[in-house]
Parts: sequence; C-alpha cells; structure tokens
Amino acid sequence: MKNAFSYIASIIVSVLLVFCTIAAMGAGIAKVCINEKQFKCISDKYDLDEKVCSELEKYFKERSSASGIPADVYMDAIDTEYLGGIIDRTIDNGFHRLRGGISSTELENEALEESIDRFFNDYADSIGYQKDDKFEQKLKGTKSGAYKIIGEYCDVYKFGALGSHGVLGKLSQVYTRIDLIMVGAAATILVLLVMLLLLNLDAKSEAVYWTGVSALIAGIIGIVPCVYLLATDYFSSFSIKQAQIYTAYTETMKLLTNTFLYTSIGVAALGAVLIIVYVIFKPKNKAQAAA
Amino acid sequence: MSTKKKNTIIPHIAAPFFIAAICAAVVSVALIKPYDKLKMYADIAFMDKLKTDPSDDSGLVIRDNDIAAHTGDTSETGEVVRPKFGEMYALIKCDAFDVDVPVYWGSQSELLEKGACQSSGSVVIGTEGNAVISAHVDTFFANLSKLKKDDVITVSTNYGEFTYKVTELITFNAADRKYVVPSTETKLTLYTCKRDILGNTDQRVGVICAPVKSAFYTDVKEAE
Repeated sequence: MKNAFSYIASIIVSVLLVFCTIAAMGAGIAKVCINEKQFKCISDKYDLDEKVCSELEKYFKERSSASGIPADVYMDAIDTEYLGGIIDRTIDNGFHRLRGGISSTELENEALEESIDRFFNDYADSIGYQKDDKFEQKLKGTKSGAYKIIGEYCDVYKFGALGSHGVLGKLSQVYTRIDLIMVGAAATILVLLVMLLLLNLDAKSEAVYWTGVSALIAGIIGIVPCVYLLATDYFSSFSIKQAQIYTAYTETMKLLTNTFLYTSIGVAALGAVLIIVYVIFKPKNKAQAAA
Repeated sequence: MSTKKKNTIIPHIAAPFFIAAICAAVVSVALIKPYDKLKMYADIAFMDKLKTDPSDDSGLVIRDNDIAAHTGDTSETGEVVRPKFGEMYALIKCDAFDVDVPVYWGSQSELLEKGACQSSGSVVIGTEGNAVISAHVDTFFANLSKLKKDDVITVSTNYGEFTYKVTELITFNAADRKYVVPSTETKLTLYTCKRDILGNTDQRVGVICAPVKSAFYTDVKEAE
C-alpha cells in the first residue's frame, strides 16, 4: 500500500518536474538568445545592412516613377555603415522598450539632406520654378519621408510595428519576468527533487530513477517540436518577404530552435544517464536499499 | 526471474509511458483554448511551403501560370483554387488597359516588376470579401486612371471568369487603410500610386468594382 502511494506520488511529482524542466529550459534559452547582443550578432553575420541597402534602392527606384526623384539622390548619401548603425540603434531601442522603457530613433544624415536640397534646387532652377512655400513644403516632406522609410527598413525586427499593434507591451510583460520565471522554475525543480527523495526514503536510489525519467521525457518533449520545425524547414515559409526582415526573423527563430533542440538533447541524455546509473547501481535487496 | 522481481520491474518500465501520457494529455487540454488563435497566427506568419527556397534571401518563389481561355461549362457557384505566394493566378482585362495585366499572389517588389500584386491579406478572386490588387503607375496600372464609372473589368483565372463593374473612383493616403482592409461586401479594389512630381508618393488612386457575374469552370484541374 505504501509502495503504491509512493509510486503514484512519484509519477505526479515527475509530471510536475517535466513541466518545470521545460519552463526552466525555455526561460533560460529566451534569456540567452533574445537580447541585443544576439540580435546584433545575427544582423552582422547575415549582412542585414547590405540587404537593407539593396531593398531601399529597390524602393526608391520604384517610387521614382511617381515622384520623379531618382534613387541616386538618396542612395548616394547612404551606405551600409550608416544603415548598420541605425539597425543597431533600432535593436537597442526595441529592447529598451521591451524592458518597459520609452525611446525612439531620431535619424540624421547631413549628406542625404544636402543631396535632396541639391536635387530640388537644380530641378527648380532648370524649369525656372519660384522657390515658394509649396517648394519648401515638398522639400521638407521629401526629407522626412526619406528618414521615415530608412527608419522602417532598418527596423529589421519590426519593433515599430510590434509596438504600434500593442504586441511589444504584451511581450514586455513576459520579457521583464524571464529572470523570475527562470529562478521560480529552478527553485520548483529543487523542491520537487527533494519531494522525490522524501517519497522514496526507503529506497533513495528510486529518486535517481524518477529524476532520470522526468529529464528524459522533458528532453523528448523538447526535441519533437524542434525536429519537426527544422525537418520541415517551417521557418522558410515566413510571410514577410523583405529580405532583411525575412532573414532577421528566420535566423532568430532557427537560433532559438537549435538552442532549444541541443538543450533538450542534453536534458534527455542526462535523463538516460541517470536511468542507466539507477539500473547499474540499484540496491539488489531491501537491506541495501534502506542503507 | 522471481515474481517479486517482476513486480518491481514492470512498474518501472511502465512509469515513463504513464508520465509521457499524462504530460501529453495535460499539453493537449491546455492547448484546446489557444489552439485556434495560435493556428490563425501561425497560418498568417508562415503561409505555405511553396515559398520555401533556401537559396533565395527572401524565400520567394515566383511561379507563372498560363491562364487559358475556357470553352467548357460554367456555374454561378463553385470552388476557388487558392494560389501560392508568388504565383501568377489571374489576368485582368478591360478596355482601358492596353494589355492584360497578370496578377500575382502576394506583395513584393520582384512581383510588382512582373505584374499586379494581390495582397495575401485580401480574398481570392471569386470569394466573398475585398480583393485588393495594386501595381506600379508607370507599368501595369499606367492606365488605371482612365477607368470610368460603369466600365467593365474581367478577371480570368484557371477556375473561373469574374466580371466586375467600376462603381467608385477613389483617392486615398497610403496610411489610410479603409479601402484595403477586409470587408464583408464583395468587391474588387484596384489601386496604384498617384503621380506627384517631387511629392512624397503617399497618395494612391484607384477604383472600386462590384461583382456583376461569376462563371466558375465546372471542370477545374488544380495546377500541379
């Protein structure tokens, strides 16, 4: 009867241990992978500045048919170094907002403004246009429009859109509590391990078995979805097709999935080792078990 | 092997399966409520496998189809064939346009170079709702501003031919989404940039068309 109680209670505690292990893994991986350093690293590794540059060139070329402003007016004043700096600042500001702060990225580019000024003045001179208020208004509108587009294209993680749709606020509530979740899950794991030990006081090695089983199952539960996502190349069907956003998101998701997969494999392997240790070293008789 | 030893081994072998089953059950029950929402978000964010192309930066695969003239039977109702992202699936014909305008599913600069683009957030031609199609003002929709009220527009697909009539000429700011958002009313919205030399190109011009006739082909074969 006592054995039956101990067995059922150990199963329940093990189930809780499985979920706490997964929660701890998830929170830990989020802490390690979702931060400015990793996002900037992805930006550098996959040359997102070059991708932004090429997408901006495409955009300004497309718009030239309606605005009459050649793409060179903008692109001559923009280089990958400038765009890379804005990408990094946008990532910094995004994480600042994710941590509950308020910030915005103000753009400045003297060369760009001079280039637009030069084009407008040359164009006005060539057709003998009086530089009136409307002219100044169009000039100002073109400059602010250019900054707006550059800012949008450099926001490779779409922090701006996430903020305006209220998603950033919701994510912030979880992100600011990651440490708490991690510590909470770790503390609960410790408590559950002690409970397993107490439930199996008569045969302490049983606690090793239950811990091993929990770790093995937590690992397998983590491995299965990761293998599915990677095997089906799920992230490649990401809907936003702008090269820089597509690359930023898919590579970040792949990083998270790979890290979760490797951690899960590690946890499952640890579980398997604990079970093997239990099988090899388990007491052969009751007297040994109680010792 | 003694019975006592068997009695200790079997529960130990069964335990992982019990735990796995309980965990699976808990996860399944916990996901019942958020499943629909999660699926909806996943379907929007990750649309279909045809877009998968690891060799391309953006994963875009452009697919051109022949929209052949149909001579068989038609029906007023029928099934549409949902196109894949990057797939040309329709042709717009009207007197104002010099050429038939190919329509690609999805909005991307590469697709805009090849024809008009239909937002994947709008409805497929032939279904209820707002079908939103745009193209460049200097190429495929150069003559869009020539359309007048009551002009007839035909959209041909491989599953049917759909006739519309222009009901409204529109001008709006790109930030104003009222003409491009989903609607319960079935309509076709065509728009392009408004030419504005040295302007900010935020203005859009277009037409709204009401459905006049739907002719679904009764012998549709889905493109492979």
